[in-house]
Amino acid sequence: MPELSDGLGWLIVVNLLLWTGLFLYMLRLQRTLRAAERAAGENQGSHQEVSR
Amino acid sequence: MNGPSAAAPPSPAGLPTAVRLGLAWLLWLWICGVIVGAFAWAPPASGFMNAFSSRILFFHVPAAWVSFVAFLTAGVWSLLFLSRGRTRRQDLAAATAVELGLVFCVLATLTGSVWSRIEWGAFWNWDPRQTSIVLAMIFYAAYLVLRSAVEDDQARARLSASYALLGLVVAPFLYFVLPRITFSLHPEPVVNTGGAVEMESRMLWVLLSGATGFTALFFWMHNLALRTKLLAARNDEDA
Repeated sequence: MPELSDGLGWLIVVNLLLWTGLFLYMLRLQRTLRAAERAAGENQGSHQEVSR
Repeated sequence: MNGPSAAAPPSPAGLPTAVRLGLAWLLWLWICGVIVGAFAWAPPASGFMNAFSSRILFFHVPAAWVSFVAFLTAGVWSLLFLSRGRTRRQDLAAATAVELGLVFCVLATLTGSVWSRIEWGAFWNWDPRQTSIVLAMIFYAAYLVLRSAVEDDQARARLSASYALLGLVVAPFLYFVLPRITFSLHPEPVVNTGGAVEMESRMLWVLLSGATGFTALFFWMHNLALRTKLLAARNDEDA
């Protein structure tokens, strides 16, 4: 295990915070999308065929 | 799309919310493990100008790997589009994969350049691997240009699917063949003619875990971005 006192600890903490922020944002986006999809009627139209 | 000829079957039911949440938090834990592993568990690499700088490898290689997975995903969706269905979902799924692939490509290039400056003395060295990733970026940026240049929805979907299908040959060549044809400045344990990753076991564990976590993250991002595009497309139709 390397020495964590020389800035490495901070590097880990900052990385964890950034990744946690990204995850929380994506979770929020997922929830918002789900609500919007429900409002729009459960994926209707997503499989519409492209006319040839 | 213009004049959809028929309504297709309803979309497959998504995973229950609790499962989605569970998977998301599992991925969060996984990535946290990778971060701690990369900085505190894996030993510094030997034979480097700055051994500590080698830790960027645990994020740089997974980012490059995911860009390849994304371009492959685009090719597979395009193949599905051309061979069966021709649905808006397939077309947009391919386009979304290319967009995300380019984002990860840029991340891989930036992290690589930072490391290159530390180890090789310059941000850019025209190393075969650096050159090949630039070619990949140009190839897939052209895909997006092509999409934006064609106004007709059907023609755009068909043309871009054919182009992305070509990428199924181009991407493996640029990622795995071209960098190995000539001498590379990249570390031999990672880029070698044998195509094997030869490194200390803890480093290898963190690297593979990082690649797995990044891949899962890509598919989650792809799912969210695709659903957003589908909703936007439907809103445009309704408007």
